[in-house]
Amino acid sequence: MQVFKAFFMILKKNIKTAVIFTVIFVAISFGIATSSDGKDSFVESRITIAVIDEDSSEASKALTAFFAKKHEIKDIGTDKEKLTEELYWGTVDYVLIIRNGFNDALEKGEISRDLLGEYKVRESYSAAYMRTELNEYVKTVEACTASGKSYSEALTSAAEALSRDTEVTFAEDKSGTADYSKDFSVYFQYMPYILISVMLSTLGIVLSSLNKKDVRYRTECSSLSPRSSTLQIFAASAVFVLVIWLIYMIAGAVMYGGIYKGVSWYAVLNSLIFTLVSASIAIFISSLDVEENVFSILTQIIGLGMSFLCGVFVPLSILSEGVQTVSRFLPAYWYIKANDMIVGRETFDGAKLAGYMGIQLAFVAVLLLLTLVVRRSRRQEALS
Amino acid sequence: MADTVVRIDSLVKRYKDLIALDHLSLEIKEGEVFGLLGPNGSGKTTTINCLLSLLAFDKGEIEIFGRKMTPTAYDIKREIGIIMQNVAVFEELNVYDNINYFCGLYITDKEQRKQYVEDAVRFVGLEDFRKFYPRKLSGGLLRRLNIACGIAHKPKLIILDEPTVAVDPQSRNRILEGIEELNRNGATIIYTSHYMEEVEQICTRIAIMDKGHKVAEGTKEELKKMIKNTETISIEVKEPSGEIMDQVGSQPHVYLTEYTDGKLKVYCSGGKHNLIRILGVLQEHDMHIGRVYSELPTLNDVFLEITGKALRDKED
Repeated sequence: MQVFKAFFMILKKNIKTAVIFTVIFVAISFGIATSSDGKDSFVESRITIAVIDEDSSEASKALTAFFAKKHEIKDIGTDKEKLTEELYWGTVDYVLIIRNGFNDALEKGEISRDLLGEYKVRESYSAAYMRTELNEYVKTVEACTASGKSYSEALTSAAEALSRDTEVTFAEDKSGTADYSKDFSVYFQYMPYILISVMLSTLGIVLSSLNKKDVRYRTECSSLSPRSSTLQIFAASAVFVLVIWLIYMIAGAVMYGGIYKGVSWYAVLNSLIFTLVSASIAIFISSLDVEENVFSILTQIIGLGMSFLCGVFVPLSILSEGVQTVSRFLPAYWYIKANDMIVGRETFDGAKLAGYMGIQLAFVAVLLLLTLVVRRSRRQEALS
Repeated sequence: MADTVVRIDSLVKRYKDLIALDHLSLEIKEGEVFGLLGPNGSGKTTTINCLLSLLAFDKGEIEIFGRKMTPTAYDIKREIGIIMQNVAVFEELNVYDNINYFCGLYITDKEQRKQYVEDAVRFVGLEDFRKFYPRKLSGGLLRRLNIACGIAHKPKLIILDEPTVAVDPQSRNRILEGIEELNRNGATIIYTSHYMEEVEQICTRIAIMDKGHKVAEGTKEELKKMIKNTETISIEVKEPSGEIMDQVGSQPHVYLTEYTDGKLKVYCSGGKHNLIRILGVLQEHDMHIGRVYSELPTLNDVFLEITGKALRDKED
């Protein structure tokens, strides 16, 4: 069992990444599952501002009143040093200075940037947000005046028009059942990214190390049969893959609140199949004899790329037809299709679900076959 | 008479249209340090790969320890150790674990293996580096680790495939001394190289290969006797006249003279006192003589004369 033992000794040296990935993933999933009340909501963001009104006119007061409705206004005086300090410590996000002559200029439609001074944190979101709102306000007042309203009416109308709340509606998602809730399904939905990352950064690197050209040559020269060596590597890989999958399933069960029930078992099966897909991707890449740093780049490219294209991070329903056409050629797409069906986003159809899982298994078979072909040709190349 | 350890009989290996080994026959006796010498692409590594049954061959037979070598002859493989040009160890395992792993591919008994690993650590002088990881070792120490991994299971036949390529002179000497010690301890050695000085230094018998053929075989003395040249005399001197060149060329045993780069080179085949006679001719003509060298033929001269080309690439 020399190769079997060496597998785990090498794994020990590379397990850190997998542990980090797993802890972060499980922690985030716990957070999502426990904090969500199952309802989607929208709240317009408010920032804290300070207004220095040097004009003290009808218009400046109207503008201050308008911002008071939308944001928190804090009185911090007019001392420049104090203002910048407050900005530095983040107790205010933006300071607006309404300069003398603002009212007259606005009435004449001749407003310029000089009349609205500011203290801000460079390139901050708050500054950009406030500038947009100021422009909108000034333009709306000018539009109202141009439409024949009196100046006072224009100020009132602009404030009213811009104070109306934006109506936000959410795409309806009535998915989720008692056995497999929408919130819990997120855990399984994100799993492809984490499985690919863990498998490539651990299994892939260990196999790559065991299959390094010169080490393999030395092993092939030894009195250990290639069959025994391959079997030991296979057994060690299988143990590792199963242990990783079991850890995720146990963590999932803790989140679930006990033993899985009903359709959630399909999610468990689906994740097992995708674990095999991830392992076979790692096995295939390891056969290409790539350097360790290339491995980490590939982990990000394959993990993130497949996740974005296949609906792991963004629901499939939002992805364009073009993207979905491409993602059909990737195994994570079929995993997500299956997960969507299990959670109820797609009408449940046992045969279709089996088909989705079957396609993932076909990817496993193709990847393993490709690995055999690559290994054989590399061996010939090395000996010739 | 010593037993035959390796017998290669009429071995043929083809890669499509290229004949890598053309009816190669070799016999290596127990206790020999057998040098397989040849330029890059001459078939040395192919011979080793066939010997280890890693490559299937088209014709011929290989016997090791009197038994037919096949890919599944694990009892034979158990007695063979291999040390390659590249360091083949795991970066993730320390010195001890690396040796233990490779030894474990042959020795399953834990206690015996422990002893063997300790012996190998001591043999290569890595006692103070047991817990070191390969990336922390210098190039020389890495080479020693590479050797320890190849010999820890105490093989009777050790194959070293160009083990000193890109190695500094100090480490090279240490490796060569180690090989000689392994041989003194009873191992038969096959040493492939294109560094003729090394082969001359440690090998008891040598086969020279070129284009898949064995072009010569014997002890270094036997090989040198195969060629015409027995001595090359080089004399730093102003360009001699045609008359002087003719006189030097007509001396007994001189078969070739040439003048290049301010040196008169005189090639002799056999005979004694060649140098005295040639210096006498030059003094007769009041030639001012600079440095004088007399060189015995090298394996490169043997190779040059047999194949018409240099053994070693210039960049080597």
